[in-house]
Amino acid sequence: MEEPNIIVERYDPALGVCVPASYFVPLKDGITVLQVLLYISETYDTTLAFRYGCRATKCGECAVDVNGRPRLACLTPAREGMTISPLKHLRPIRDIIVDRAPLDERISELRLYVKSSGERPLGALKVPESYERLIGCLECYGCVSSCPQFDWKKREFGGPYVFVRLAQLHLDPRDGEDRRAQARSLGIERCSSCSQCTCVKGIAIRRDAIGTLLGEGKA
Amino acid sequence: MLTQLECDVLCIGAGGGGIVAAVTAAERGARVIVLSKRPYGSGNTRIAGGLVLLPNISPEDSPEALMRDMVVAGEFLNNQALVETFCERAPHAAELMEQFGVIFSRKRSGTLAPLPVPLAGHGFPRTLTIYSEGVPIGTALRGAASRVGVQVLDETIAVRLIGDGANVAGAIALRWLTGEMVMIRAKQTILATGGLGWLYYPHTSNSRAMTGDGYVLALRAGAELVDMEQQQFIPFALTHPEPMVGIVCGEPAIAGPYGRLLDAKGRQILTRVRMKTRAQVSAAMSLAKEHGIATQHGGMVLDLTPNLKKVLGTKMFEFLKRTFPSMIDAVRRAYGEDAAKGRTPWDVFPTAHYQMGGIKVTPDCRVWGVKNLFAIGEVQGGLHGGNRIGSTSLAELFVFGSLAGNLAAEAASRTGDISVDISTAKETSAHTNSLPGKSGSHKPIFLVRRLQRILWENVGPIRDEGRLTHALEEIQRIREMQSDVCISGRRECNPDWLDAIELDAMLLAGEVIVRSALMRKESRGGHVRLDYTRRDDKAWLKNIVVGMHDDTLALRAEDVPLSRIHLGSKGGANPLRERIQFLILNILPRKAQSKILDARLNLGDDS
Repeated sequence: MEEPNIIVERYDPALGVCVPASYFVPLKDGITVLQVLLYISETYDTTLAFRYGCRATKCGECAVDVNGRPRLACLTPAREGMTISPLKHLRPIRDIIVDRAPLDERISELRLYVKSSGERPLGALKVPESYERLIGCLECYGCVSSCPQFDWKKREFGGPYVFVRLAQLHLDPRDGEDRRAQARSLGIERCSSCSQCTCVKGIAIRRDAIGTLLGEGKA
Repeated sequence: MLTQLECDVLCIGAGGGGIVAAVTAAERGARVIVLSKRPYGSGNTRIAGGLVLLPNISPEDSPEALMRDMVVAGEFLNNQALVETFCERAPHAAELMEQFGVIFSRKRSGTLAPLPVPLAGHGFPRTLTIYSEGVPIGTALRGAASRVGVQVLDETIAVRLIGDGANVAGAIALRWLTGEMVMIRAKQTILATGGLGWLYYPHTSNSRAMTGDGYVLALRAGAELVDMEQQQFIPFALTHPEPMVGIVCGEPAIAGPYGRLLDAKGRQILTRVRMKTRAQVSAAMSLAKEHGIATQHGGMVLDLTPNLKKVLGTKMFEFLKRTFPSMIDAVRRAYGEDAAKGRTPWDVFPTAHYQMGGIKVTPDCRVWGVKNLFAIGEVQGGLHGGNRIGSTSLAELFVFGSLAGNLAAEAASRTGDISVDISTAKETSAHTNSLPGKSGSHKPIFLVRRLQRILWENVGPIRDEGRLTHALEEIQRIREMQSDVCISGRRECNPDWLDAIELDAMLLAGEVIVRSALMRKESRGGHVRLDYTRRDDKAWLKNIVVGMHDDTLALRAEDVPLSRIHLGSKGGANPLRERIQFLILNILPRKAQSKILDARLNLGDDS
């Protein structure tokens, strides 16, 4: 058997910790982290629990940490010696699956949907360019893994996912709520001197979402 | 342990159809539960291209014209009564989507920016686009579900409908994250589980959720399935590298006015590609492969370079790149920057995209032969006949989601106590519950992979009697192995368990496809047979209907009622008119051409 070249940090609910497991995976050209997970599952252990959906960077199911940074497994090239682990700051459930529910619940708690003042649909609408840049958010929840402030148990801080959604709504010409005030009440000022959050799809969260909500620049 | 829940309306599926129906029913005061097999809002709706039908952009357009285009493209297999319902309501689909929170692409001036040209099969420009394609629809659906307080059971797979005789009254389901079984009693149930593209993995554009669950749930509850041999293979998908096989990189339209579709020896296999339907292009490519002239990756060659030599071609390609950014992005990752710019040819082959066949319904989405059950979206059969034209599938979710949501809420308010045959329900639950810990010889995932390979090779874009018979034998073999599976004993997050449940649905759905394909002895729509290469309107202007009695499938062929659109009707764009426009354009100086096209394609608008 060849030397192991991939580490998967598998959360074990009985122990309450991640247990590193090493595997050998032949890294052919162009192979992605998702292919590595599928290979491990279909070669060594079919009980490896991980999520994936579309293989094409659009569904957002396969967000995981690779070497400590959030990535989409289907978009990320595999590398020798890499470590795949569950997203940080969310509750791990089993292996690399995390609990999405606490962030799902924030959608209704924080009214993260358009509160329209009754415009006619399909009518004239001036859409800011930064809206176009933000609306591609896959809701994969990868960004919260890169945020040093976020913790799913602490509801007083919004975190990057919530701020991206609030910024989308702030920039949506139909939305009638004060999303900047909402962001302030969720601790966005903590982000003003920080720019560690990253997006697996390359959304500039700090500039386009947090900057917009903080009223920086011309946004 | 079987947890029991109760509601007025149960929606099985949490893509566009399921959530629109749920929100609509909840707004009418119904208590609603939604089951979502994967994290909700992440399925085929989110990963769609985001093209949405708006059939009243051109003043000359009409519901009749749309209906004609759909039925002609569908090669007359469509359920015309259902098409009529759709076409009458289709103008409201896009409005409803914006009310849910989506914003369609606008010009800088703020007015809508529909695609200026008709998609293949359409007689008029009728398509809106969305910034970031289907992604914001997923976000909007989740927002709308939260707004009205719909209860979503996430990562929960329905394993059987429950009820009493022909009355459906909810479902038994597995909550995969915890391993808990639930029984949901419902006055009305709506199936919105999507299609079955995953039966062809990796040759599919679909999410891995699409394992055909809904067809099987319905069939086992006494429903019938219609024209299940009709799969849509979208012609242009990537052939390599391995992780990207089957991922879509284009409609026929991507060929542009001068793009050429060639075999590995450089011979043209089809002319005027962009005017052809998805079925026509996919069939031509599959036939060429059959004649042994595929590339080393098993594909054909789409050469876009002739476009770049002409103003019209260059402008059209620029426009298409902007309209389908994720497809171009996929090309860039697979074949490099030059390919993404159209400067080097693409290696392409069809991929399973949409299931036209499905559950037989009335024009108001009620399932034939079963009470208190609706079917909407891709799981429903008959709307698209033998071939679906672009931009209709997202619209259908909103048209039929709102229709079924309203009807189900109203019916639930008139439904009294619901009766459930508890012993059958408990039996099903106990069977599913007993799967973890089975110590047989076969891991379910390997049986799933074997089935997928068999279906792609034998029941894919090209078929014949020998291949179909072989597929049927293989399905029987896999079934025998299915009775000897090996499943980890763990209850929470157990992939073996989910695979075993999905395998069961995939086997039956696969068998229905194969048996229907064997019966249809002609080529029509997405069903292309080497041994019956012609469409045969005399013998086969029929719907193939499949039912199940005592665990045995029963097939019959029914005449298609041509109530509105008759054989010989014409649909789609007028190629002659377009050719004349091209000719006139090409006489003009390059600068003038450029100016006209920028205005027509909204290109200048972007900078």
